Amino acid sequence: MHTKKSPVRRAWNWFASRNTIIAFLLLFTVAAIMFSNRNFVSFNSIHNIFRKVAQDNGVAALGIAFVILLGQIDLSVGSTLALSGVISVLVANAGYPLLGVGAGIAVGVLAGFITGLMVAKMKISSWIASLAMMLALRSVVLLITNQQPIPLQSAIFMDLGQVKWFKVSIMVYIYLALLFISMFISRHTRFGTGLYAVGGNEEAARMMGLKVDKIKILAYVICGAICAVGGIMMASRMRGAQPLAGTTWETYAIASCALGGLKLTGGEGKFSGVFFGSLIIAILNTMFNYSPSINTWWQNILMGALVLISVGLQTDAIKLRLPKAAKHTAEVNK
Amino acid sequence: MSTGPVNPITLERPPLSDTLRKHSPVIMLGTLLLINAIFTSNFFTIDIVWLIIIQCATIILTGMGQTMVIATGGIDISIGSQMALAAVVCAHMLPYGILPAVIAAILACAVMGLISGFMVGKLNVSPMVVTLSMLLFARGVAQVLNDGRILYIDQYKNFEFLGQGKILGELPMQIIPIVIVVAVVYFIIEKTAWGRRIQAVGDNPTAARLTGINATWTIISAYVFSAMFAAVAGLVLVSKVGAADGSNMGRLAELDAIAAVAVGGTSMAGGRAKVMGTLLGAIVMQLITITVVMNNIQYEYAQILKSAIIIFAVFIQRESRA
Amino acid sequence: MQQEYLLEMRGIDKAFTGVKALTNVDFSVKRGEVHALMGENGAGKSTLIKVLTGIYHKDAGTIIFDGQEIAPKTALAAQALGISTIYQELNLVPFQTVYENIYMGREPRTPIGTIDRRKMIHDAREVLEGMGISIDVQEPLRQYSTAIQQMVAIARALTINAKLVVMDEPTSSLDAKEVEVLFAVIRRLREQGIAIIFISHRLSEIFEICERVTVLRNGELAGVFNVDELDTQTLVNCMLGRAFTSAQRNKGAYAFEDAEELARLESVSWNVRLNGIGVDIKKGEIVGLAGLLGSGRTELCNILFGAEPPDDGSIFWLDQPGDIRSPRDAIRLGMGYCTEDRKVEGLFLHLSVKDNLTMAMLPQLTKNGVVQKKKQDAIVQQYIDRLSIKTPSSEQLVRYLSGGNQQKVLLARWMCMNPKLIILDEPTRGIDVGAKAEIESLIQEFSAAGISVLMISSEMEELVRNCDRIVVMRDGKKLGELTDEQISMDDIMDTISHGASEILTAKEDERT
Repeated sequence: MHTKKSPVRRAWNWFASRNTIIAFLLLFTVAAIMFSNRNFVSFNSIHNIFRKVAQDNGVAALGIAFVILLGQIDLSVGSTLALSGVISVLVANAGYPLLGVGAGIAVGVLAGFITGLMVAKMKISSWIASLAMMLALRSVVLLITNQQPIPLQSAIFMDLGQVKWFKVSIMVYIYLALLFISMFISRHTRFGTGLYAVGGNEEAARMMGLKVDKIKILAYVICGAICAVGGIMMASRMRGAQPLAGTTWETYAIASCALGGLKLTGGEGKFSGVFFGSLIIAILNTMFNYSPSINTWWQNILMGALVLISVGLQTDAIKLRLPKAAKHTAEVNK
Repeated sequence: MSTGPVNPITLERPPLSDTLRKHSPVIMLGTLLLINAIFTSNFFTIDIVWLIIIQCATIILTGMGQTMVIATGGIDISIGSQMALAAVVCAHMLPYGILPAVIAAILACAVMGLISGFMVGKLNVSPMVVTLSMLLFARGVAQVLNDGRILYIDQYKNFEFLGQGKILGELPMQIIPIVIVVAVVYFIIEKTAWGRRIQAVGDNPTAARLTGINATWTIISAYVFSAMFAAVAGLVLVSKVGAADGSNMGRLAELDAIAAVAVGGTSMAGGRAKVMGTLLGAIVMQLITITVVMNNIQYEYAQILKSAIIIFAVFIQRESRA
Repeated sequence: MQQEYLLEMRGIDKAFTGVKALTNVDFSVKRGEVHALMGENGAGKSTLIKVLTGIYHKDAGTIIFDGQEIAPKTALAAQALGISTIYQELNLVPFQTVYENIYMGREPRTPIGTIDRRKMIHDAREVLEGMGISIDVQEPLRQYSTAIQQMVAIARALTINAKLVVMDEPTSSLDAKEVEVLFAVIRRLREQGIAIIFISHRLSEIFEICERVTVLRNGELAGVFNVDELDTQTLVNCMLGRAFTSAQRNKGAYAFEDAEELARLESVSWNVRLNGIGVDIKKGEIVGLAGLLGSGRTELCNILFGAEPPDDGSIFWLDQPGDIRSPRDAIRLGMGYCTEDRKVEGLFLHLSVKDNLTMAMLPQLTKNGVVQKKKQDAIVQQYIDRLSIKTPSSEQLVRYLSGGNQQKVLLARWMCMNPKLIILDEPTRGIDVGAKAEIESLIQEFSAAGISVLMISSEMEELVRNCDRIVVMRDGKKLGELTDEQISMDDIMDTISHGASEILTAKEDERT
């Protein structure tokens, strides 16, 4: 028996990784033509796009991808980022720049751990748990910073962010490093396959003997750590800690993942997809910047619509998820 | 495979956690009043009552809408953006009169609610994702509409009276929308078939369908109404403040609304809706803010507390559902 | 030195808060044997298996596996001992590839600690080929049919060095060809000395592939048979039991021969569960659906009520094509449906008795959107009284009621609609004797009032006592109908058995 793939399903498959690349290339070509007067296809311009990915929500997208693969969510990525930045700046200003980096990462790890605990052990819905976490962490940031940015006083810290190797910003290198580490973890470690298993069918994963709770918590910890790196990067680049850093980044991060082929229900998608999803968003942002006629406010509208659409298209696939014994799987066996 | 012998739940008395949950809003209210009695000077004055009424209005209004949505088993975190949208639309339409402005604002938000409700009810997308995107989307529309500036409406004294005026002497005008909306939602939930269906859909969607209920429309209607109440909240706010700030109005309003509902005893998983509980919960949330402000503690502490309260309320509910 | 018996369970007891699930059950499996475990709903099959596989802990008795006494505390522990289970829901991850599923959680590692995918792919291919299956192990699991996915689950068990494989209803969603493939694999496993516990209620399969059968009934051992010496009659008798006093039948002669037809299903097929079945119901008639587990009775009711669309076939109401596309349509025509699992699909546990009772009737109780309280209260009280529903008040949350009273609330929900047809799926399950009797007399009242009843029950005596006509089903087909004097436990079981025998002889004819 052969299923007819519904048009919605086909549209969804369009967003799968390989096709995200095609979408990205298409977008790039369009932008190149549209903005040929601005030398869109120049080293600077392309470098800028990559820098945008690295600096803006690209890192948050990598972190959140771990949790989305689980079938969960982490809305606190923006706030974790901000808090890590703040703590690292404070410690660096006290004279310990290296310790500052470590402290920032520790903050991310701790935040992720708490969220993971709430989701895995207290069985609270990850949406609510991370929503509360997002608000709580943001409040802590506002408290500590008194709603004012904290300027960096550590020269080393500041300079670190300005380093360029072969004319490419260090931020890009760090992002790529994080990307490759994430790809490695997801593909070549037992934790990685465990992620996909728990996201794909949590009950089955449990029955197969996987330590589901540990995997969940670890995913959140990794997400927190990655966001912390992002926060430290931002603090260095902005020469100080920003109290409002990372606001609304969770939506962009989710959008990058959804566009990149990660199913929000978990268990499906690759990090390479997340990368291209982030690229698409970066190009869209650039296009906005280059078009003076379009208000930057339109970005919000577009982003919101983008997430709605990319997620709405995922829905048809949900019904075909698990082959329950009672249902007849309709795919022909090879 | 059969799951073994059937064990009927035969409980004579509800378990302790249920009782706690049922009375939690009152307990919290009592605790807060106690704390204030001890620590806050000048607390028990009539001015405080007016203050609560004025400031609590938005939480109550959005909380009522949120109660309906949560009762269907969903959630709506875009209400803050909807408030801003309503304010901005209203500011733009005031030159044509108060009534057109109010209607336009409510309509604009209703459309947002329709989109959200459709995606949740018909397409079965997770309510969190939908309303998260809507949060951005609506905020964006609000910002575009006011070009990132703040729109002042000082010249519309009539309209401003709605937010700043007093009736019967000292009673703030906000009491009117509060009373109306609470009464309306209470009526809907308790007295209408629609209210029964909302709670049925949240409690057991499968059984609801088998009882002939059209879950899709029920869900859509809940989100539309929630959006409309958010619009009213936005109108109340803009009339009081005298300005519409599309970028910043209503940020984090969701927190208070959801916390009010959670504290009020409505299960976050859907089902039985406690309208009066939400009212109490809203007052509790406002009291937390007032307590903190009057004691010169930074507001962010209140926010952290509120986040913890949401977690706590959800956690308690999980236990009693088991 | 290997004993003949790989597994010996002796004197197993297991109780759950006052309900005895297993009483002194013995169960043993020989090496390399395919052993069937059978029993109706509530017989204790699943409990016994869960005790064996470490999910439940036994209260008493011993388990000896491969010469050692064991008492596994978790599913993993049982697995480590060599006992693997292939679940009905398969418990695999569909998005992952075949080889990933086989080695999930135990992936082989390279010297530097990363996952060795090449080895996984190679070994997976080997295991499957050893079973006679050759597929591309690098494709996602969900590309493959349930039958193949099951093979993958079995392959996984093999790589965990299973000595004993429990298969829980492995054929419930396979078609005939796929079943043959599965059986071929089972035979290969047998050759390798692996024992298999085969849980199923498809009699024909039991006779085809199994060597011995253990039958449980009401938590006790009802019999152990060698398949060679067994006939279907004996088996069915053993499963359904003759321990009860023969059911009393107080009904008169069959009076519905010329009665007007109310509803009719024709050539309905759905999934693999229903295969071209036709059933008709006359006005005022009580029709019972009899059959073993898995015969498709619940599915039939779901389709009649519009909860599921059929793949094929049609429904007629009052001899007109019934356009039933959702429960709302069915309700409008005048049907009511008390589902099998009242807590999961029927009741709104956190809402009141009043709400639950009147939920379907809301449109009639509403004027301008407002529920008319007096009218609603009157109806609720009327049915509380009529059904003797024990509840402190109509506002009581339904979750605090006992099972029997919950069922009554569910019944009342449909009764107050004055339906023309009430569909009851296991209406007296989990209910005390007193409430059972009340519900049964209610069913007779329906019929007397001209309301038709379509009833599913796994308790044969219940059907015998109450029904005007019994339709016997097997594997989604109708085996026969019984009326009047034909209705007795013996005759029902005969029909089930002979139906099964017919299928058996058909298979034998095929082979020769």
